[in-house]
Order: sequence, then structure tokens, then C-alpha cells
Amino acid sequence: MKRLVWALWLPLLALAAWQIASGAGVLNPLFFPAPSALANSAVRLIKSGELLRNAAATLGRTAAGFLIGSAAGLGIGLLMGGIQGVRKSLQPMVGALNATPKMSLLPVLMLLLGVGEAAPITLIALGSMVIVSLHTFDAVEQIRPIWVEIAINYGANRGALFARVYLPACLPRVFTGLRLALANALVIAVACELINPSTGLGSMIWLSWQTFSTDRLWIALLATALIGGVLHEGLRQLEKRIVPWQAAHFE
Amino acid sequence: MACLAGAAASGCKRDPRPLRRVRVTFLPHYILAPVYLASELGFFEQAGIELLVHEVASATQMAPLLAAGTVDVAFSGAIPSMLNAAAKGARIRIVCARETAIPGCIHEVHGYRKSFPEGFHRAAELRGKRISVTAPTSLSAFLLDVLLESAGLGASDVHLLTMPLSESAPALAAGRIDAVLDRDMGLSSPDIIPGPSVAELLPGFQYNFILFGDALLQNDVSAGAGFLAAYLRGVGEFRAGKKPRALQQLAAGSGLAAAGPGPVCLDRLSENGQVDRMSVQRVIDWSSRKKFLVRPIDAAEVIDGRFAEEAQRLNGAQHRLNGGQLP
Repeated sequence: MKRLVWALWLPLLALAAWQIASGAGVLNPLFFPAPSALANSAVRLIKSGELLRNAAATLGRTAAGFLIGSAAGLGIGLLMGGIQGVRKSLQPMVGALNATPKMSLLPVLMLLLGVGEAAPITLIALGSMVIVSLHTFDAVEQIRPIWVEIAINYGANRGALFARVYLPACLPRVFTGLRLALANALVIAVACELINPSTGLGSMIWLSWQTFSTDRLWIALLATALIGGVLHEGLRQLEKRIVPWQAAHFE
Repeated sequence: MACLAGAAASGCKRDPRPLRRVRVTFLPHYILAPVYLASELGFFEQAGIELLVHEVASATQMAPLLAAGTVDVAFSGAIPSMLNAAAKGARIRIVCARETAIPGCIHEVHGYRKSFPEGFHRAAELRGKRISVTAPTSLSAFLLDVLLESAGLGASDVHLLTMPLSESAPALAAGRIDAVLDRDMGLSSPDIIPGPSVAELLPGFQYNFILFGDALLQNDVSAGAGFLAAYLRGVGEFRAGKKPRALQQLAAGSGLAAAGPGPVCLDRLSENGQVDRMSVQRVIDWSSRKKFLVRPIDAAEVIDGRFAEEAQRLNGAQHRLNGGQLP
């Protein structure tokens, strides 16, 4: 509860200031409709199912791309960390891909994969893969050889080494990568929807912009931010359960 | 915001008279040549106007700029964003007609040759095809609906996609989509063929306008009328064969040869600027049917014909002053 209060006081204060400024005529309602007006519009959009339909579409793309990309990233990161040949072969490519603006790859992917869902989901997966693989690789690199030596001296076999040494040592950093990758996946999903609008919160933002419907635009933006916050917190809670020592460290 | 490119010799130079700054926004396109020409020939300066141009990448960027007073003039269609801004109380009005649909002038739809093995002559051939428009609210979407309706087809009979021309053009050339709706596409590929003309279905339909924002929508029409008069003089010169220095750059931006459009296509540029209410209402009704508008709108609400009338009067007087010769 206390945590919730700490998380919400600043956005609530901003909304209150926005409402007061709108009431005082400081903000142009054409561009900044009052939060009370936005709430009314949001209720209408929720009742009509439009907001939830679009949020579900964005979440679906984000989840699909993130899961595929993260799984691949985890594998690539572990291989890069564990096998020198793989590291030498993949590291420059992953580094270059990391520095490439992901949205610039969308037209190429569309040419290769067509104009359906395949291109945006591949792009989201690519973005997630790069982040997770770099963090996983980094995590493996940070494992102290002494931990491995001690485990071997106590008779740990390959399976035990992985389960008791490598995995616990890597998880905190992997989770950092997953959190970053998830946020990035949402960003890419919305960006793809802005460029090729069909469904999703990005397409809702884009259509609102096309029709100068600023209330819908703000609602879609706030919904995106809310989803981002909820996903981040969800992953944080998962991390608490899976990596309790890391959570205790932050608490 | 910058002084009009290529107009430094006239519109942007220091003048002993105090010039009124008019901020204009448009998508760079060769059909804007009259603006550049009017500037190069000093028509705006003669009208006491210094032109400042704010180029945008999308027509929908213009409505917020105009509504916020960041610009005074927008060269745009009667698109939903403009209509909604006006419906919500922003002082935005259509004041001058720019382009009219002329059969045989331009091709609004292009197809991938292999998708139309029998040729692409009738709208009915669009059935079941993957068709791209720039936006569901755009003029291209309106034109597609006109085409489909003419063939007794609906949106469910085609696979509609929305993407910018920068993506749809290569997608069409690669056969990833079957057709693209966009007037004046500068496509030059043996695999791309022009389709049926929408202008033949809508002869005389006005689809591009000049819109004024609050700063020029005053009771005193002189500044706004002066602006339109200068622009319309530019239209007259362009139609008479003069070309601005910036034409090559504009044509390249539109994906066309520097020579620009053929003579017949210049007829689509309105010389008197009079706005056809029915054309505007047609787009409004379409936008309303598509649920793009916040409320029903009558075209008369968003049209202000005073400026074009006064501009015509000013140009008539100028014409007489020059003994019937173009100034």
C-alpha cells in the first residue's frame, strides 16, 4: 500500500495540476482536454470495447515478439558467454544490431515478410533478442571463476553447475535485460502500429492524430504508459519470486 | 520556419515598406509551384507580404499548426483533422480552391502489372486485391471508396492497408501489394501500371484548398485577399508556362521529371479560387459516414468565400491597370 502511494502521488499531482490549469483556461482545451473530460471519453471507449480491443492487440504483438526474442536472446547470450567461437562470431553482429535503430529495419522486413503481422513481430523479437542476449552474455562474463571451482570441488556435475551456479549468478542481470527488453518491445509495437496502423494503441494514437481527436490521443497515450508501467511491475514481481536475494538487496 | 526557398530576390529581401509576415505550411509538391513563382516574381511582396514557409511531411500536421496559430495559411485538402479542429471551435476556414479533378489529367490508382494480367481498366478489378492508402482519413481513402462504390464494391471486398507512400511504392514494385491509391505517384517501373481514373467519376470535384487560420480571418479581408491574389497570379503565370527556379526540386520531391506535369494537368489548378461547396460537403459526408468527425458539419460552416472574391477583384483591377496584359 505504502509502495502504491509512493508510485502514484506524482502522477496524481500532475493530473490535478492539469485539471486546475484547464479550469483556469491556461491550457488550450483543443490540445489539452481536462483530465475530467478525458475520463469521460475513456469510459465511453472502454464501454464500446475500442480501448480494450486496441490494448489487447498491442499487448498480443508485444508478448509474441518479446517471448520469441527473449528466448532466442537468452540462448544466444549463454552461448556467447560459454563458447569462445560463438562469442567471436556473434558479438560484432549483435553489437551492430544493437546500435541500429530498429524501426529503420521495418521496410526491409516488410519487403521480406509481407505486410501482415510477421514483420512487426519479427522486429519486436529482434529488439528483445539483442537486449536480452547482451545482458545474458554480460551476466555470464561476470561469474567469478572461484564460484565454479568451489562447486566443482564439492562434486558438482554439469547439471548442478548450471542450476546452482550459472543460473542463480546470471538471473539478476538477465532480469534487468528482460525488463529493458519488455519496455523496448512495447515501444517497437506501438511504433510499428503508428507506421502501419491496423489495430493497437499505436493505430489509435495515429487515427486520433489524423482526425484531431486529442481526447482519444491522450487516452491511448496514457493507456500505453499504464501498460508499460504494469508490465514493468509485473516482471519486477516475478523477479522477486525467482530471484529473492536480488529483491532483498533492493528492498 | 524559413523564407521561401529561391525567393530571396523578392519575397524575403528587406523592403522599405513594412511587410506583413504570413506563415504558410504545405507538403512540398510540384503543384505548389505557383507559390514559388508568385514569390520569385515578387507578387507577395507587391501585396505587402513576406512569406515564411513551414514544410511538413504529412497533411495532418497542418491542422494543429493552424489551430495553434503557429501558421496562418495551410495548403491542404478538406481532411478530417481540419474539419474537426474547426468543429471544435478552432478558427480555421477554407478560403480558396486549388485543384479540381480533370479526367485524363492524373492517375489516382496504380497497380502491380502481374496482379492485373488482363489490364487495369475498371474499378471492379480491385475485388480481392491488397490495396494501400496513405491513411484511412486521407483523400486517397476517399478516392478508393469512390472507385469501389462505382463498381458496386465495398471495403470488405478488398484487403485495405495503410502505409505511407515511401513504403507502399517499393511494396507495389515488389508485388507485395496489388494497388496503391495516391494521386500523382511518381512511379516509374515497368511492373507498375496506371488504373482507372477517379476524375472520370467525379468531374469538377475540388480536392485541394487553401485554409486560413485566425490571424487572417479578420473582418478586414485585405491581408488575406492580398495573399490569395498573389497566389492566383502565380497560378496564372504557371498555367501560362512560366516555371519557378524551385520546380526541379519540387518535382524531384514528388518523384516526377523536372519538366513537371503536362499542359492538360495544369487545368486542374483553379484560377479564380472559388470554392465549390458541394465538393467540400461530399468529403464531409464521407468523413461523417466513416465516423471521423466529432459532429455533423455543414460545408458552409467551414468555407469563407470573401477572400477569394476580393482577390479576384484585386487581380481584375491589376489586369486592367496593365492594359489587359499579365502583370
